[in-house]
Amino acid sequence: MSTDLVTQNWRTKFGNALIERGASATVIDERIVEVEAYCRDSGESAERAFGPAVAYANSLDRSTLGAGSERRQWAFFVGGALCVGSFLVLAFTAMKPGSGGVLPPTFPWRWGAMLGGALAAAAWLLIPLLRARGLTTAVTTTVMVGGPVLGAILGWSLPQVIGHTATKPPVWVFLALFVAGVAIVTVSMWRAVSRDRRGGPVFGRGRLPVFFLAIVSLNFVGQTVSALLR
Amino acid sequence: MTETQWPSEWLRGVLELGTLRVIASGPTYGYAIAADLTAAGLGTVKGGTLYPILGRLEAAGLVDIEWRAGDGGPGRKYYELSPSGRVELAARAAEWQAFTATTLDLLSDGAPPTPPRKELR
Repeated sequence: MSTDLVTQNWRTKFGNALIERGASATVIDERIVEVEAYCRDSGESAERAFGPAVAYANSLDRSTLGAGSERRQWAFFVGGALCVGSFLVLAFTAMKPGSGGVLPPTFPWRWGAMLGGALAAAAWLLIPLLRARGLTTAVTTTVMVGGPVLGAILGWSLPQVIGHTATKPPVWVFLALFVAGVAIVTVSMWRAVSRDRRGGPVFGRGRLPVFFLAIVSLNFVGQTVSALLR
Repeated sequence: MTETQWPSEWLRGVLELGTLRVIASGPTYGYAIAADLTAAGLGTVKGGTLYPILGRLEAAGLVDIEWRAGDGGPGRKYYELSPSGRVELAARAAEWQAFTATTLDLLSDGAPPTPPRKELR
């Protein structure tokens, strides 16, 4: 339930700030319910009782956020990076020069978009680790911007190198590509939306690159399915 | 009655102990704890100050929690002192009493005891 005392704006900022700190969805739910209950009891607004949402979120001890340990976060990052990497390798392997491939090398901008999205998503996976190590927002922003730029450069150059040596892949490659695409979409969506059981989904601005990757992945899934049906 | 506003640095030192003491009286929830602390004379304790403390106590295992359904509103989280919380409260309360006694001695009659001074070379 969203009370007037806890505005949607405050809730969203608070939820997003907790997501940035690696809080689990359950903990975000609980923290918001705590705030709602306190505001209802005291009659004070969240802004008055708890102060600015981001400042309050940052004042909470990391040990109370249900955030994964650094080891777990690394495991998630490596897992996510492997997923993204596998997807890219499979996509490159599936490419066939000329007609008939999943993505012909005559559309390098697509590779740029896909790689940029993949690298941005990988950078996003790194953000909690970067912040846990005290790195500034400027550093994380640089990583986020650098990912798409690097992706665009690779997108223009790699098809010229790999595309000419690629051979037509067997069916299992298409199937693996399909599975990897679905996995990326699922994980991306799961990570991107923290569902507050009373107030609807909390979207983070930092999730945009992941949505982008998810859309590109869906595009690949669609093309893979149509390639299988040919 | 005019509510005293103590210096925030003093409150930082005592608020966690005070919160433990309030919870020791029985299962209670956030706003009630804040109200009890205010009634005890510690001044207005905002939610933004109290909940980080409650979170730390919970993470340290000093309090047990239980969610109870709210009356037509959001659920309420109740806090109760755990066995280790009781031990911690007793220890901290004894330390605090010793500390305040020392401070009182210092501030009361007579000159403060002169600490040994180091010679400057």
